[in-house]
Order: sequence, then C-alpha cells, then structure tokens
Amino acid sequence: MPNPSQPQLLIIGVGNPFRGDDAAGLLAVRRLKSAGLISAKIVEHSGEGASLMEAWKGARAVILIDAVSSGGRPGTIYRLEPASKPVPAEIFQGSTHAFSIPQAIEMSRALNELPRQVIIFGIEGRNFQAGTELSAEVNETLPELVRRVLEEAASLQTTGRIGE
Amino acid sequence: MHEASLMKHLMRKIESVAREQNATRVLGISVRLGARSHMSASHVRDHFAPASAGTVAESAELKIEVLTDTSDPHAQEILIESVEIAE
Amino acid sequence: MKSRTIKVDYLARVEGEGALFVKIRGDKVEDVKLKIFEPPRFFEAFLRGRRYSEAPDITARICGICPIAYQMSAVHAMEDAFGIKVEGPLRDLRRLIYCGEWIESHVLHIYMLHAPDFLGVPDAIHLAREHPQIVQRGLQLKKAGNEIVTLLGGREIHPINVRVGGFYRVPTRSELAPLLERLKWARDAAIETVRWVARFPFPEFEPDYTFVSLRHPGEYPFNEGRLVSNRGLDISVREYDDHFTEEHVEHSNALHSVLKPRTPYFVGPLARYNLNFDRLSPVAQEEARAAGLADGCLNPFQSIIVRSVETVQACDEAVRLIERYERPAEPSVPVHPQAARGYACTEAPRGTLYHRYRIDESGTIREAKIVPPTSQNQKTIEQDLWQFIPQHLEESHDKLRWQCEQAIRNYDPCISCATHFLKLDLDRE
Repeated sequence: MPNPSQPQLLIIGVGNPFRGDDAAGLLAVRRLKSAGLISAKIVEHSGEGASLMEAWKGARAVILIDAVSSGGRPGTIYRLEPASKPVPAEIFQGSTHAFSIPQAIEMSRALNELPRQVIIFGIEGRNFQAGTELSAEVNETLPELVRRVLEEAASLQTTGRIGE
Repeated sequence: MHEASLMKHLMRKIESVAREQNATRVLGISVRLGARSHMSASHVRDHFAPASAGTVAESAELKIEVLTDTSDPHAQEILIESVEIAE
Repeated sequence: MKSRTIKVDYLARVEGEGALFVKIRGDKVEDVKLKIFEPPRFFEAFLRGRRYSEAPDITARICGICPIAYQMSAVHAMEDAFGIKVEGPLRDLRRLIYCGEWIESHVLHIYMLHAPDFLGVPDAIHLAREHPQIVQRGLQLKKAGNEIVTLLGGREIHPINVRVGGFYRVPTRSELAPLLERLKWARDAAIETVRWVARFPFPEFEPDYTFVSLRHPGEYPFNEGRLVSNRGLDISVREYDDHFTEEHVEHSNALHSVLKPRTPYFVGPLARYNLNFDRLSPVAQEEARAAGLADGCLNPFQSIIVRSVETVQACDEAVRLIERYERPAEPSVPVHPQAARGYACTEAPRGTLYHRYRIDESGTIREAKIVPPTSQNQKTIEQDLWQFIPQHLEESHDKLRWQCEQAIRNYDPCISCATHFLKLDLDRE
C-alpha cells in the first residue's frame, strides 16, 4: 500500500563510515544531497534489515546504494533490479547469517511490502577493514556512481514509473 | 583451518603478483606479522613450505618481521610487504 | 641471478573475518578453533588524542545493532573518571533508551535469526512466507524499541543525543506520551513471544558454566552494579582488570578473555537471568516460571526464551519509566574534566561491555580499552562445541554443520557488524 507520508522516491545510502570502502553508499548520498538536484528523500542507513524494511515500507520507488564484495574489479558499478529476481546475498557485506539488504528485500517480498520499484546500485569495494581509507578505485568511481543514480532517478520520475 | 585459509590467501596474492610481472620464479617474500595476528613466525614457515610446493614461490626465501605494538589498529593482520622476483 | 623487488603491501586475512574450524577424526573431536570477533582495536586507537566528549559519538559507531550500549559504557566511564553522578529523571531516560535497544536487538535475534533454527525452516524469509502474522508481530515489536531509541537518541542508527553528564536535549512528557500505548502493546506482544518460543523443541545440553553479569541492589541490570558470578565473584567494576584478562591462544597470537587464572566465562542474557531472577519485574518472573525456567536456565539453546523474558522486562520497565517521567530542568549536569581513570560496565543486549579510559587534565583521552561481550564469550563458545559435537557425530555433514552454527547463534554473537562472513570448515575423516 502506498503510504501518503512516504515520498515518491526514496534514496538510501548504506554503509559504515569507518570501514574503508563500506562508506561508499553514505558518501554517494551525501554528494547527492549537497548537489541538491533531485526531489527525493535521501537517507543514510547502517544496513540493518528490519529497520530498512521499515524505512522503505509504503514508498513508491527506492534506490539503494551500497558497497559490495563479489570478487570483481574494485570500482565496478552494478545495477540490480530485485523486482525481477532475488538479490545475490553473498555479495553484500553482511554475514549470510545476519539480516541485511538481501534478506530485507526478500522478506518485504514475502510480506507483500516491497515497493513497486527497487533499484540497487552496488559498487565493488577493495577493502572493508575498520580504520582504512576509501580505496582509490572507489573514490574515482564515486562521481560516475552519483551520475548513474541521478539518471535513474530522472528516468523513474519522467517515465511515470513512479505513481499509478 | 585458519592457517590454511590464510596461507591460501597469501599464496594467491603472491602468484598474482608474479603473473602481473611475468615472473617465472619468486625468490623472496617479505611478510610483517601484527603483534596479535593469528599465526606465529614459525607457524607461517611451517605452513608456507607445503602451500608453496609446486608454485612459482617454491623454496622462496621468507623474511618475517614480527611487530610488537599490540595496540596498533592492524595488530591482527598479516601483511605481504614485498615480493622479490627473478628477472 | 638478477632480481627485482615488488612492493605489495597486501593484507592477508582469513577469508571474511569469521571462521569456525572443526577437526574430527573417527569419533573424536581433535580441534575446534573459532574466530568470530574482531575486537574494536581500531576504535581504541582512534579514541586516543580525542576529547572525552567525543567518545559517545565515536563508540556508537562500533556496532550498528547496539550503539547505545557502546555509548552508555563510554559516558559512564567518563562520569566515573570525573566523579559525576547522574540521577533522577536523567538516569531514568538512560534506562529507557537502554530498554529500547534491548527490545530492538533481542527481537531481531529472536525472530529473524534464532527462531528459524527451531522451526525447521532455513531462514526468516521462509518463516515470513509460512507465518506472516508472526513475523509481522516481531517487526512491530522491534519497531517499538526503535521508536524509543529514535526519540531519545536523536537518530535511529547512530544516536547523537547522549552526552557525558546527560543528554543534549530531553523530551517533554507529551513527547513521550505516544510511546506509552505502543509499549503496552509491545509488552503483550513480548509475552506472546515468550509463550511462542517456550514450545520450541530444544536439544538437551547443560554445561557447567561460570556466569558473569552486573548485579544492582534493586534493578535488573542495565547501566550499573557490581560484577558477580555464580562462583562467588563479587567485585566493583574498577577491579575488572584484577580479575579478568586476555590470554594468548596456543599456536597463534589471538587473545581470549578469561576469568583469572584461566576460566572461560559466559556473559549475556543467560548469565543475567541466572544471577538476577529476583530483580525481574513480577510480570517477567511470572512468564519465566510459566515457560518452565523457575529454577534457572543452563541450556544455551533456551537463551531464546530468556531473551523473550528480557524483552518483557524491557517493555514493562519502559512503561513504568514513562509513566513516572517528569522533565528535568536541565538536560545534563555540569562536567569538569580532570586527569583520572574511568571505568564502566553496562549490560549490552549480548552481555557485559567493559570500557576503561585514561584522561589527562585537559580532558583528552590518553588510553582507551574496550572489551565487548562477544570477545568474552568466544572461549565459552569453543568449549560448547567441544562438548556438543561428540554428541552429534552420527549426523550427516550438513546437519552437523547446521547444528554447529546453531550452537554459535545461541550467543547472538556480534557477527553483523564485526565480521563479514562466518565460514564454517568441518574437516572430517
């Protein structure tokens, strides 16, 4: 059910600012915010699954940004659309025994609470160690990531994929 | 085993460095052990021999420096500092 | 031979950060090694040279699930150093925010991680498909905890409103009022949760543990008390380092927390419950008795019942705290830093969390020591596995693996924030 108090478009940056490339999702949404280019609600999130489900409940469209670790080249950007198929759980920085993004998506789906449009942007990280800096590869790719998110937001808004 | 997993990780990196450099033999490897890393120097040596057998790093000389600062943020880590390759 | 040295600077680590290795030969367990916790060494180093007042915000970043526990231990340790006592409504608000975190964290573990183990479903998503109304109850219950933390903490994920000496801003009575109805509902939902989990089938397993937790003269322990055990320990928090130590693990440089000389010990809900049953509120005691735990609980698999009882306790306590709340005139008491050492233990959802700081006369942190519950439980988890696995050797490889995971999950280890993947390596011949 769309919730009138929820915005049309919600953009969530997930990460931990002290764990190397895990900060990428947070940094991306901070750039989006300071650019002030889109009319969307922008939030930073730790990635804990149950409160993620709460955050996106009732939203029409959600863009989620998070660092991933899938063995690819650091800095690679992935775009996932969980509406059509499940998210590969193993690439996210949450234990397979924890409750984070992929579990939250699947549980929202099971409970019929998954927003109609969910787009996930993953950026391949190099290191997730506490106390390390953002890697050069991820840092260099951030502007591109932000551009892709802006494009996606614009397309969601102009193609009428938001709304009935 | 943690040691085996660590060593596998270590060997993968050494082999990939050798490959990038088009080296056919690795002569030496410098490793730094954090004061609280999960392996002692002798343990690293014991595990290196079987793990490197049949690889480019077989019989390479292992230089191990053990750090003593237990409060270093990376005190638990094992760092491959450098790899010496044959030209 | 000509040679060339290539600079690499590459960190080699165990794949992921969490791993369990078990070696079985025939019908004998030969080795159990567990590495699930990365102690917050980085944060200890990061805190050195910072102002005392930055500690609550920095330590709140250590864990995404229990930020309140970290910042509470930090503020209490600073207040101990500066000789400050926070009392009355400010102290109540601190207990209230701790209630919120217990509810959130316990409910997450009960419904999303632990319950599927006993219901024969692989995970909470399957549980949601089969029993959506039960999972909805869990989500709503957790949300009641979130609401407390959001209102008092200022921000849900990394609370920023808590400070040394009190809060930056305190709520009015009417701001707290809407929480009251929700928490009364939550108390009922928590009672239903106890009744639900009490019916699960539990394996028989009751090792002879050394339990350690805080104990307070009149309260179920959150933020203060003496450290006690079921073996006669009874010390002030300032004596922690005289009685507990981190011991080197054979063949490695890893450290395990032990009670001196070398006793593994158990912190968390089971320890609190067994040492503080008489401090539970009447409604929590009644539910615990009805669940069959009148004589205590030694089976770590039943920790799911104890977590549910503690959720009842937290909801009930939160209701009482809100009912008697009067807004204090000032949101905090004055703080005058001085050169001193400060010590504190609080009861995080997962167990006792110890902080120690050395502060100089300007209020700068010179030394920080943080011992989280999961690192204290690590040796006890290994011991459980040594004892548990031989009783289940006839099981298939996959079943045994799954049971080992369950034995670890009993402790609600801080996997979600501290490690990335739990890799389980069962070596069997």
